[in-house]
Amino acid sequence: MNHTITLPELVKLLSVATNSSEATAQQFLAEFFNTVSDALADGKNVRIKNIGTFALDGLKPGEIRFLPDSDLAEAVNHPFAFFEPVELDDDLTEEELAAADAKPAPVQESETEEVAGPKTETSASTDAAAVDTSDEAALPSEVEEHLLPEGDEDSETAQEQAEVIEVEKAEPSKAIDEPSHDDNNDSRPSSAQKKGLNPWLMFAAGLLAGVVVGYLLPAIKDGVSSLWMAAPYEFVEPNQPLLPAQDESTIPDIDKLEESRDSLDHSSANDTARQSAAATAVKPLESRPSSVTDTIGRNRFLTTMSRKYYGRYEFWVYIYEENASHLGDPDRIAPGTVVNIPPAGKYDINPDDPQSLRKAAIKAEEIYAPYQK
Amino acid sequence: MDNKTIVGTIAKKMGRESRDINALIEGLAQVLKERCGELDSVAIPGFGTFEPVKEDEKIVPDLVTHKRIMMPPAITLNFKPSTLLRKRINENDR
Repeated sequence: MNHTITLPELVKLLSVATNSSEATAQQFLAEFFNTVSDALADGKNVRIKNIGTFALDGLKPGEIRFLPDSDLAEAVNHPFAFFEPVELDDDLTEEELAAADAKPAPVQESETEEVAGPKTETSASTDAAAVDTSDEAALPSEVEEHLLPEGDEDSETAQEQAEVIEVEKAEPSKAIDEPSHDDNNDSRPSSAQKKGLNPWLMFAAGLLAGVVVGYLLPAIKDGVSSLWMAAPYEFVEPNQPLLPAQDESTIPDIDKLEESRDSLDHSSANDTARQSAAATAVKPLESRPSSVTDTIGRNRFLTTMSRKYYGRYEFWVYIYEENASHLGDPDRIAPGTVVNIPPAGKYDINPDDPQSLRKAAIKAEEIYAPYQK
Repeated sequence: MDNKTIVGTIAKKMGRESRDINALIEGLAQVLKERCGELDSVAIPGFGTFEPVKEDEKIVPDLVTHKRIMMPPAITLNFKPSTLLRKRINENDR
């Protein structure tokens, strides 16, 4: 580990690996590296099978970029071959990461010894001693966690040996606490599971909310629209007096109106009351109070009222006609203007009748005619 | 310069067959795998040093999803050219 192999050592290793003499290996290495050096000095990139590519760095003169062959790179990286890039949760803060890093630090030494154990059972103590001084101790504890399950009984014996060594070294044993190590190992997957569950829970909650909204929204919409559409037909109790221009004594009594529905030959002193009574008798839709008032607002126009009271916006013309004396330009009615809403029967308003709609359109043209000049 | 040219050049210089040179290159690769896999460095005088370097885990942003990705630790094999080789390359550049 972290030992520098010199050329004589390399010659020996190569002669063993290729079953050739050391002289051949030495000659080969000399020729090989001379050839590669010459090619690089000539400004050429060199690609060697099973070893990799030596490329001149165009940005830094004299620098060489070495791209190892994939097999060689994998062989070198084999201690970390288990790991894959992991996508982090958005809610994972830097503090939590730092805390996760800090936690396993005290048990590193014992763990590295555990890793070293299974490789050479007989020389576990020497390995462990070597590991202490090496950079291997800096390896993250996850490596050991991955390696530990592979180790069987041998790893346990090695672990015991490592513990004995630690005792011999008389190091403070606070950090190397085996039960706490197990606790760490046990708690880590559960926290990972917890973190893994969060997105699923959030997804499920979102789905549930979507379903609820999906069911409720049409129902609410239907309810609102039905109220909206039903308004002209089921408008029952106006809280404003009918025909405010008239004297209260002239307003027909509700009871009388009810009677008038039963008998069409109802005779009243007031002509207006008679008219409205007749209208209610003819059309069940207009059986209720025949005229109400409404106020023009910033977002409330004649068309809005027409839609509300008659079901179609086209019949605004009749509201206008009813109040033509004080309205003027239909597009410039001041907010706050109070208008009388005539009963539908007065102008034969029927939203289902195309003829009625056509009449309203003609009427609209007539109304606009003086203002378009 | 590709593998075939290198092998041919060395075979010519050594007076051996390309097949032998290929076997020796394969043997060299095997030695590098074994030794560098054990975190040992291999120093070749006048050429350079092959040294395994451990890179710590790091968090990098994903440019597409903008999420944070924890990249695992890794050991990569670096090559550090010797001063002599650098000098030769620089001289030839001039």
